[in-house]
Amino acid sequence: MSLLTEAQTKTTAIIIVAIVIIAIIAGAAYYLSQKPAQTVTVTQTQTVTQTASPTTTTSPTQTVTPPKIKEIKIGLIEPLTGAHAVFGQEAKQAAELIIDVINNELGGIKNLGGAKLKLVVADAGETPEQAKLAAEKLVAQEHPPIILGAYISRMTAAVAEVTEREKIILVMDGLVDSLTEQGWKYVFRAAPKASAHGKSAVDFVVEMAKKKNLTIKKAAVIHEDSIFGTYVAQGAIKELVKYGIDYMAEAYPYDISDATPIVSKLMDYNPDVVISVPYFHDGVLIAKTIKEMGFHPMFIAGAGACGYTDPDSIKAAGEAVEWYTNTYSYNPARPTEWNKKIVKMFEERYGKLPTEAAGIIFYSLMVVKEALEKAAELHPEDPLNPDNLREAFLSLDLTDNNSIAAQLYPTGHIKFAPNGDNIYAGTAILQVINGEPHVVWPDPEPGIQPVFPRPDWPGAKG
Amino acid sequence: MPGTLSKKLALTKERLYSLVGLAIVLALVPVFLGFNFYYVLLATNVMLAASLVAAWNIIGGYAGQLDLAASAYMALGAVITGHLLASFGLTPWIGMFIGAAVAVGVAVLVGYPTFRFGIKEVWYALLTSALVVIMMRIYYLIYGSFETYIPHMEPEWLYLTFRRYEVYYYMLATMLVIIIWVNLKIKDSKLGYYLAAIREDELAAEALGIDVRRYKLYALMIYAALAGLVGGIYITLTGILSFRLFDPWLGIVTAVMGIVGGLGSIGGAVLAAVILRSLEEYLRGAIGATYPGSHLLVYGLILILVGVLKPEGLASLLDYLKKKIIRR
Repeated sequence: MSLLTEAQTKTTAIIIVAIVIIAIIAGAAYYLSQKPAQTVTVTQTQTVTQTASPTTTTSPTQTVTPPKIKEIKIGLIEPLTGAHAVFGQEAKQAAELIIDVINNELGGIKNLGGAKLKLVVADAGETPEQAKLAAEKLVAQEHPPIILGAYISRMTAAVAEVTEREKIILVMDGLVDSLTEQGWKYVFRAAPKASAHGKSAVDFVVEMAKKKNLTIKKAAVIHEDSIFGTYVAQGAIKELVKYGIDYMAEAYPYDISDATPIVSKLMDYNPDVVISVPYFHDGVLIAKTIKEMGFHPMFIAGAGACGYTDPDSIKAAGEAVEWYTNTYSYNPARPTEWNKKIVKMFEERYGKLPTEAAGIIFYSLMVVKEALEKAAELHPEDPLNPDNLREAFLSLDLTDNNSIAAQLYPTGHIKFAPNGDNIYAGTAILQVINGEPHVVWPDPEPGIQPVFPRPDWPGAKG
Repeated sequence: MPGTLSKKLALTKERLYSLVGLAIVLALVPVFLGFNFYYVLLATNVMLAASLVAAWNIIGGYAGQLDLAASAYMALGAVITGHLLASFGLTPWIGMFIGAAVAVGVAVLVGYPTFRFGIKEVWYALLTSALVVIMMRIYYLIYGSFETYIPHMEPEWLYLTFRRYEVYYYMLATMLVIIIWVNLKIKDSKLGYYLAAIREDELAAEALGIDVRRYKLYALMIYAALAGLVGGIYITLTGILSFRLFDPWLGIVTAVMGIVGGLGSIGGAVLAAVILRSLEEYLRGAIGATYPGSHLLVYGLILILVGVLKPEGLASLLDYLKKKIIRR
């Protein structure tokens, strides 16, 4: 018996030895691996030398002056599979279209001697880990100087960790506010952030009320409680406070099956306007319940680009969503030359209208093109250096007159703040009029006037 | 008597050598991968899956309880470690043990009444899968849908916020070796024999005088502690805290890997985790972007093939190979 105990002691001893071996090798390996990574660690700080920049695989001749860049890789990391695949797929289609337009119709990047763009795509999957793996894979295999992605906030955050380390510009199409509040240096976001959606909805309502000589005293904000919905609602509340409007706020899970309690609360509070941030099905439910319970406020405005005014919601809710509005990061009806052209091309190629996910990629990718042109102008010796690229992004001031990117943007103006957000961010508002969605704000479609207040509001007759 | 003793000794030795061999192989993996960020991160994710499946093997393999709550205990360890780090700056070296302790506490809270009232088989599976959702809801009530990002902190060794993945890999590899060792220890101990008896026939075991409830609870506690520790390391790797960490799907996948590996076979379980996780990621990377969703199809097909051709799991394959080698 004592022999066995001895053996067990031995077992324990050897296990410990095994762990120590692992630890030693780990330590040695880590030490060794730190050496080549030294440049990365150094470049994390502000002092950046030209030589420290990672040379991109696309241009081995980059160090030779003048640089001859024939092809620039643009990374796209989107959720192509899983729960968010609908958005990722549309974003990918949009990116392919815009890359074709830039390469063929616009002759590539002119300031770089007509260098072509090459899209390299990775699937971000469903979780932050998968997104991070996708980012590492794309970086290891292609090392594009610029990456676009990843729509869902936590996945975008995971990608950003990789792009920050590698000093790759990340043009984000995730809208959650906190993404530009992490102190990341190489991130940009042309799209309006979540709170800007809420703000737009309030601005629209206030502007319309002023036009019609109506006053808004009380407002209610109801929102689904995802991170996105919460940020949209916060943006709306902040704006309501600014205008001195009293408000109540109510959060609910997006998968509610009964909206009666929410609508009852609304009716008790009896606000002049309702700002609603739905997901999809909850919006249908709320609209139907409001109609059934006979609640007639001055106006009901949606915010956050989900529900109410999309074709599926109109189909599902029918007359209940008449005169509802919603805010969008992209305005497919914006009457500029290039917007009309891109929308037409997208429709011809994919047989559907571009929505939110595609729209954001349209202008984000065009902004990338402008930034590359600018970088080539400012730093012809090394345009793809991350810091030169960053400088180029920050020096952009795009308007309808000087760029295609701004023509595709709802407000027609793009200029980046140091944190990477667009200073002139804004949304377009669509309203359901006679069962059809129409753009009513800020530039109404030709022949369309916003319906405000709601015709079924008791005060509308007077 | 001396015969059985020496036989037992030989077995232990054989196991020991394979464990040391495994440790050396695992230690050398990043070197062979050339310290490439992508491959090391991938290997880290594989280690994560393998550790979790190895921990699951204690309750699922040895005790024979179809537990689907691996992600609940793991996420519990993760969010406690993560929030202690993000809010109070407490080093994960301590945080992960607190997280593991809390995971054990929850395991006792859930396990005691569960085993007391004799909930087993499908009912136990249902209960544990509900546990993940309940934990998710509780987290949601406290933190809402907001995401907390753990920032990069210095010194890296204290806060485990490395920009490279090697350290995480080695931590999880060490964790895996420890978990496998715990598995082997349990298998050889009184607890292991009792658990085997419970797995084969719970009523018979009880009739023989085994305190079924107590030993099942022991197995559950060890499993929860290990899963909680793995979660603590995991959160320092991803750095994103949200209610989605309580992922019911991950709980199911962990059980699937354990079953594909062969119930009660630690080698098979680890092998299954390594193969399936790498395969999943390889397929997603290789064809996921071009033909979206096709990788899931292939993955599913492979699972079915294993189920049809090797229903006893990969463990039988391992045994077969071992016999071949020894015969030679």
